[in-house]
Amino acid sequence: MNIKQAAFLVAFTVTVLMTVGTLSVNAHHAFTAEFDGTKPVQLSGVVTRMDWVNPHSWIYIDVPQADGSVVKWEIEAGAPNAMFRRGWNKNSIPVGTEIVVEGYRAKNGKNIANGRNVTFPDGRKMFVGSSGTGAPVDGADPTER
Amino acid sequence: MKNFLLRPLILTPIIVGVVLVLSGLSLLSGQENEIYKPELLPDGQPNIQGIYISPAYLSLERWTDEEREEWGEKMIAVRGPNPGAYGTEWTEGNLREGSGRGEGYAVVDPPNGRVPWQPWALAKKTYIRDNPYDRKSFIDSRVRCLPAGTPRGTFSSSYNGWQVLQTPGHVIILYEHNHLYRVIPIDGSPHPGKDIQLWMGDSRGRWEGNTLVVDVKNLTDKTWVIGELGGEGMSAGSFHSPALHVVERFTIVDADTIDYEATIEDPNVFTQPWKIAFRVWQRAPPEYVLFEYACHEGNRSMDLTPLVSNTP
Repeated sequence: MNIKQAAFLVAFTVTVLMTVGTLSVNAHHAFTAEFDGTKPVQLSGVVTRMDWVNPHSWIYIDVPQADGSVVKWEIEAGAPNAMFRRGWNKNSIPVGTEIVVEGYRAKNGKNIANGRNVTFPDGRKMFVGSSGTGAPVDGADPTER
Repeated sequence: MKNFLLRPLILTPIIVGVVLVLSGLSLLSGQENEIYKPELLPDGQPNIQGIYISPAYLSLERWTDEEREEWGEKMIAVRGPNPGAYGTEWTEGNLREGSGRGEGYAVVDPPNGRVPWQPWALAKKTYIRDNPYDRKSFIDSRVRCLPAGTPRGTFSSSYNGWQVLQTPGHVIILYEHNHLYRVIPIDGSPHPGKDIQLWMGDSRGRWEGNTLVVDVKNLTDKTWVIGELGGEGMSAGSFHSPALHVVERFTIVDADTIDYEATIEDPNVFTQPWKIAFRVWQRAPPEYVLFEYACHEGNRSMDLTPLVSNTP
């Protein structure tokens, strides 16, 4: 077994343990009641504001369009203490940061989405886990319970 | 010959004595290992002050695979499939598992791991669970930013903590979730009259060694006894009547850990008293603070959830 294989085995084992052992579907609300899992969105925009509030943080972005206009989107994120536990803090996402948000659009068709991942200009990708908190572990946060 | 007969008579008391002393010693040392001696406050209460978070998550009830399958199909019909928006963990199959998949189940008595509903109450509970978006009142009070009730406010959460404070004659629990709190007198005073109904109930406590026993009455019928925190799940809709009576036992395991047990009775909806038990609290990291929880500020659930009717 080479180092790569060993590393994969360790990562795989950790993932399995996290998934089987302490995973919790533990959310403030049910994702599918409000958001459409069949309508994934990927939004490249500039952060205009972030509200660190319970039960969900919200990230506000301006998404530039091809015609030069800007469309405003509101991204639901995790509870502040869920975000803190995965390494987010108030300096993580300053106003003006260009980010890419992957998430799912609200069922009501408005420019509101449930965020899953945020990718920063340097390539870092962080789980923004909105509906669930510790629950939807996707490997972005190795310390997630 | 004489020696042979006498030997047991002499040896037996010695052996019995040695065995007794040894077993006594092991018992004592065992007790020292098993029973943690907490610091005592000036009024004699064991000191459990501090901030805690949930150490583990459990499934609530013991469902069969067939029941999970059936419920999952119903939910797809109600609100569309859940394609696993967050990856493989956030799928129908896992939602069906309840609030997590630690070892064991929160419902420990009756031994089948199921809430002992009266038939009419089971029918009502199942209807609410399977039609959660029919009307506002069917939606979990937690999702609506209303109090969680007791014991449900003390269920494991990966995004909220609790702070315990003690004053002479009181234990105070501050809930990060929704700024809830319970002020628990431990002075032997009685509950108010039964016409008083409170979202978190009226709590009266006493210490039994390392265990804080809290008797809870005077609850409304607006909360769920148990139920997954997201409002969807197989134990969702677990309503109760104002006759709900909960006896909680918070037991100090060690300096950082509290176990929880609650005996639940409500003769209007259950056929017998039943019990939940789990490891409820683990001391939070030193940097952890309870975050402000102005619940409606960041909660758009009710705007974003299409309801079937406008019935409250």
